Amino acid sequence: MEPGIEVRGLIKRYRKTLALSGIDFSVAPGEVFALLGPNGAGKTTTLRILAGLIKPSGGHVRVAGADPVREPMVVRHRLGYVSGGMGLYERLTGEEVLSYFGRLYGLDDRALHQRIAELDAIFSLGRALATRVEEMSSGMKQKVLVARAFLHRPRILLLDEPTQALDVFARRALLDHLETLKRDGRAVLYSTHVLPEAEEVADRVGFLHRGRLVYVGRVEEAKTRFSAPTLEHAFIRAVGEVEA
Amino acid sequence: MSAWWVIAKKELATFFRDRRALLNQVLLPVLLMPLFMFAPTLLVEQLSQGAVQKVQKIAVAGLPQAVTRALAAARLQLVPEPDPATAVREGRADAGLVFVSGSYRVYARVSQDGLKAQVVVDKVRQVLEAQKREMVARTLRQAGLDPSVLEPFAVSVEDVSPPSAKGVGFLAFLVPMFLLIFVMNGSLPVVLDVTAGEKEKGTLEALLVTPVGLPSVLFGKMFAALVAAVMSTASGVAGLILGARLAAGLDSGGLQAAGFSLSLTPGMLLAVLVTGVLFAAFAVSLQLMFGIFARSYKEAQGYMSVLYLLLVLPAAMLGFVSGFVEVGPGLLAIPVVGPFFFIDQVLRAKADLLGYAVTWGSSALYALAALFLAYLSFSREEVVFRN
Repeated sequence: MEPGIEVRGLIKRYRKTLALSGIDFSVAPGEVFALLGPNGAGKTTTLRILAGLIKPSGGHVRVAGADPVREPMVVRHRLGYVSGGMGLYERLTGEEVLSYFGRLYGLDDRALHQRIAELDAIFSLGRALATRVEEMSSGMKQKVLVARAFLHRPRILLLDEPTQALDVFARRALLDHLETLKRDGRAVLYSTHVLPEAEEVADRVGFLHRGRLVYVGRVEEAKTRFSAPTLEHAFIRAVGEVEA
Repeated sequence: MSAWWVIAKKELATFFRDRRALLNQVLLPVLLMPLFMFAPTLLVEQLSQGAVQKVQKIAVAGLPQAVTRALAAARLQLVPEPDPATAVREGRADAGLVFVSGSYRVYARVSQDGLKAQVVVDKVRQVLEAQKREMVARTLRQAGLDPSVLEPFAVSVEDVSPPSAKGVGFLAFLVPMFLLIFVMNGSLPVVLDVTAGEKEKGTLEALLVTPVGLPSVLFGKMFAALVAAVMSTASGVAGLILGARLAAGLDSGGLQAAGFSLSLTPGMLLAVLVTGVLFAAFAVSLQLMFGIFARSYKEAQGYMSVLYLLLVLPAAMLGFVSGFVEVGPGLLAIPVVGPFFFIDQVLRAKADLLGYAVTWGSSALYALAALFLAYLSFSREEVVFRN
């Protein structure tokens, strides 16, 4: 089986602030792992380390069998990344944005054209392809952003709040597409604070609180472990235990 | 297709679609430079000529008859006043003239009226000087002497500068100064957009997560900014030359004498262009370094203003003393100052091979050093994700 994501004792310090204090988790191929936590918990830092954008202060990370610090280009070829804070180039159309990133991922014109058509079919990009980003609704922008991450058929997907601003149809399309990705053996790290969504798509979850992973396990196990009717309640109780 | 070229093409497409930036950086310099550079000169000339033709009112007291007649003949209206100084101060006359104890005193609102007052003073002075020469000549003739004894020889000055340097005087200072300004201004919209702008919009993270090496990212961005800088500079210099041509058509003699006449050979144009591009590479790299450090577009604009002042002001100030400075290899090797003096030398047809080697060699080295600093800045996560 192809490797997914391996995180062991991951530490990240920003000067005096400890953003991640030795977290461990893994995401297997064909699995969706939801990393859950409030703002400032360390989700974005974890994703940035996995994408090779920032360096860890300690611990070990492997993404698709490669080390993001030593082999960042290998990792980035195998990785699709959507972050909540990401934006698009205002004066380009949706198609131009996708073509731009597609070329940076090494796709030739034919492959690019075919792939954009496929993504249009999956995410109903439609009018967004011919519209300049500055004239798009936030939902249209988000569709293009998400499609951008799938352009090069990455083995690993890091999705940070990917459904933010999506309309109900686009959101459904994305969540359904995750099932296809799982069947194809892709490893998906899904970061969100919308817990019902995580409950629907995730095989396993990790509760991240103030840089510590306070729980890792299957969704049903989490509900049982914290005697909670929903994942949201389980998360609140898990954080409550730590605070106590 | 190389990744750096994909990035550069995208940045340039973005720039060319920004109509406001295109208008400001490329079109306006061509249109406004002639206006700003030569319209004031021509206007001042027209106003001065008008003032010379106009009949001004002079408050006078105690003047000899001969001087009164001469002043009236010089298109000046004389108004007897007991206190000419007060009359001028209160605006009842354009100038005042008093003859007391063998000397003439001219009153004018020099500081207040500037050139207008100076024209009146000059008219009065010319009449008095002519009167003085006439009196001296009369006295010499009465003493049996030829008035020409006062001028035993004549003095004339011949300009033996090469034809290309003749008449270029003021432009030799203005062209390099505006070149520095246009380079700094021209690249600004692109630099701000590709650094702090990308950070602010969240596109930088999406770009950095692609499998493209940092050198390609940086080079692509730098190339786009460089193209914008060169376009803006070419447009500005074209505007300057166009203005010179237009003004020469209106008044060639006066403008050539004032140093506003510029004729560039293809070789000189190429030398100015290469020097400009090398300086632009240096300036753009520094702008990229500061741009990526900024947390926001606004913060980046602040850094750019400081950088602009640091780079342009010293060179512009040195331009005022350029005629007195001995331009040697040491001076030409100083960043910013070197290219400034080198272009001055090129336009005056004084540049030699050593000058070319030192200026271009040192400029290329500084550009590489600045690019390396920009690379270090881009490779630091605490800089790139500083928001």
